[in-house]
Amino acid sequence: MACYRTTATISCAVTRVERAEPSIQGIFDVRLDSTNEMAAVDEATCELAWRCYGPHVAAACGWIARSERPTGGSAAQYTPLVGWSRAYPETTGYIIPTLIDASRRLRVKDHGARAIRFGEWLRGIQNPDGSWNAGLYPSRSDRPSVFNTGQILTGLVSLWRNTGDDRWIDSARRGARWLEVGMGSDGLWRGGDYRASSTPSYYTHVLWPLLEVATEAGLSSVRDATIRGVRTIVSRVQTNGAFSGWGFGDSTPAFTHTMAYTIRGIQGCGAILEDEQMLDAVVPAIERLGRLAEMRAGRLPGAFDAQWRPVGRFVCLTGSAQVAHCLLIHESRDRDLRLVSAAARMLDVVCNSQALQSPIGGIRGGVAGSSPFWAPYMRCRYPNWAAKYLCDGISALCDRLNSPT
Amino acid sequence: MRTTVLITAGDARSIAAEALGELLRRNGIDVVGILLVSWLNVGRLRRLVQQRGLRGVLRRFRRSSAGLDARDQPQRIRSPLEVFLEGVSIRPVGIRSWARAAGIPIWTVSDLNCSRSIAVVRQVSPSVIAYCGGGILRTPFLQIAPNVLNAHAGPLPEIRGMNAAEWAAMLKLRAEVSIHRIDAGIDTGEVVARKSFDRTGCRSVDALREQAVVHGIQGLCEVISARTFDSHASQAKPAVMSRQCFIMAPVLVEMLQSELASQYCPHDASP
Repeated sequence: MACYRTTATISCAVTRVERAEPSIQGIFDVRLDSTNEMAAVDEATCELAWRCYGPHVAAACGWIARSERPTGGSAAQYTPLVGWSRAYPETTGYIIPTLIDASRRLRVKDHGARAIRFGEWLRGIQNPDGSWNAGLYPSRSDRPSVFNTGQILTGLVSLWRNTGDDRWIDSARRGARWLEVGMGSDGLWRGGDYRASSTPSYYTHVLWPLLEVATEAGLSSVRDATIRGVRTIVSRVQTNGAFSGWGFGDSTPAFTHTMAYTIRGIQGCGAILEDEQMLDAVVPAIERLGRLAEMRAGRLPGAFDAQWRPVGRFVCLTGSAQVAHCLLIHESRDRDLRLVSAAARMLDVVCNSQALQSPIGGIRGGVAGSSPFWAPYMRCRYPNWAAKYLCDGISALCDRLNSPT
Repeated sequence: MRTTVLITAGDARSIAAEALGELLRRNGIDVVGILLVSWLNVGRLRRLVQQRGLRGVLRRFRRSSAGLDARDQPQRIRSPLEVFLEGVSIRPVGIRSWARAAGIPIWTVSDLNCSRSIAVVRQVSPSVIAYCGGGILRTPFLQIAPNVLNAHAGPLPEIRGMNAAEWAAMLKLRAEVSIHRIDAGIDTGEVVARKSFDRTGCRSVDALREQAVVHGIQGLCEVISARTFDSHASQAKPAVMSRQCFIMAPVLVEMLQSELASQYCPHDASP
């Protein structure tokens, strides 16, 4: 439980965890300066929620700062006794909007500067055809990846929206064009990816940023193909609310991480398209996940089979933070503080797992893959995307608690 | 026909069960026994830890111990439950001691749904069972005991489930205790009486909970004494049940706490 445990105020936590450094982008400085006043208002009116959760965001962003590699990008994970891994382009991409948001909330310009550095690094390693390669960087193979390319688009669109600099959208446009080339008539990609033999349902998390780029850059053919893709995946919903193929493998149980990817992707596309039917498709799943978390004091089981039976006794911390965020997005349509409470309890479990005082930089502020630490999802590791999703979930929660009920 | 009551208790220190039993006796109602659920029950502890988390259970235990110590401090502001008990001249001594002194049989069971518990209900055959805790009642128990009444701390059917008084306040619904018949669903049984109270007299979440407990005791006592549970016509259930409430997240409890403190009106503090 975050509230009762936290004694430090947000300003103290920020000072301790992260010291502001001069930003490298003039235009970005102006934008951030112009939002400082808003951040101050947020802090004053959202005092209670932010007092509870702000230190967790500050610590997670401090961890992300330490994950930055000298050669560029954010390390995929920290493993005790092993150290930091190589940089991971996929998650470095989608961490960018989190850093921009945190920069405003925490009023630490360094996070904004880091977001731009990440973006520049990603542009630098983009393939001539517009794609990005699979795996960590430097990559051991030259195989381009649909999923990684999609996640990187998230960061580029965010940078473009926040700076107005065309080089971000140009890079995103090239990535989107490459993704479009590989799409079939159903809007999905041929062949499999990772452990699945066909396009998994969690590829809605590719379709969503692709739809964003298509909308922002006016790519109508990409937009049409993307809509077909989302509709294909939405049609995979089962009578019990689960989606077929939303796990890493074809018939393996799904981690809440990929379940939440599926849901969030559909929510994102549904919001852009203002398609109520699309948004309704994920309601049974998200309501069920919220209820399952509530029945276990916020400890949402980490994986489920197709019949919603929990598999294993662990919490996928990343997945819990993601599900909490999805629940808050769903709640924005169906205003009910009971859903907010479910999201808060899931986030509390993640916050409780975060070591705020560890002397080890790779552990302090990091979020483990699983609880317990040795459980199957990202066993004994601190992935950078777990820190990202904790920040995103908390930001959404604080925004909600700051809005009229 | 003589009204006989069996009371359940989820805890040997259940003040609600003890106060209700005492008030019913004073009203001439025959309390035929107490079904006390033992804490030494692995299944119950497991469910509790699952619902509240280990930290939550430990915190509750610590708060409960601290609460007992605090009652001995003379300068402390008295809680609504303490004010109520003083008003009706009841000094809680524990359900076992009270039952012993009143000559009321007490059965300790591992679970209200166990065979021993069901055998007790069959044997005693009370006209009504007053539920004062002990866990979820399953169908076999409810089949042999159609009149099981519960005082639910929130308005039904809007607020079903846990932390009902807090959720009603948080969702800006009326402050009300619903006396309802327990059925197989979660707070879906017919409501036989409602008892409103003023929330502005509660300066904290704890006080709000206690205010609901006080009105629950009074409501159950009134319904059983007047035997209104017998004559109550059955109601049609709403087609769509409201979303179930669970334990409120700590951040929301803190927000509610601030709101109650800001709206506190000490003139209305007594129940």
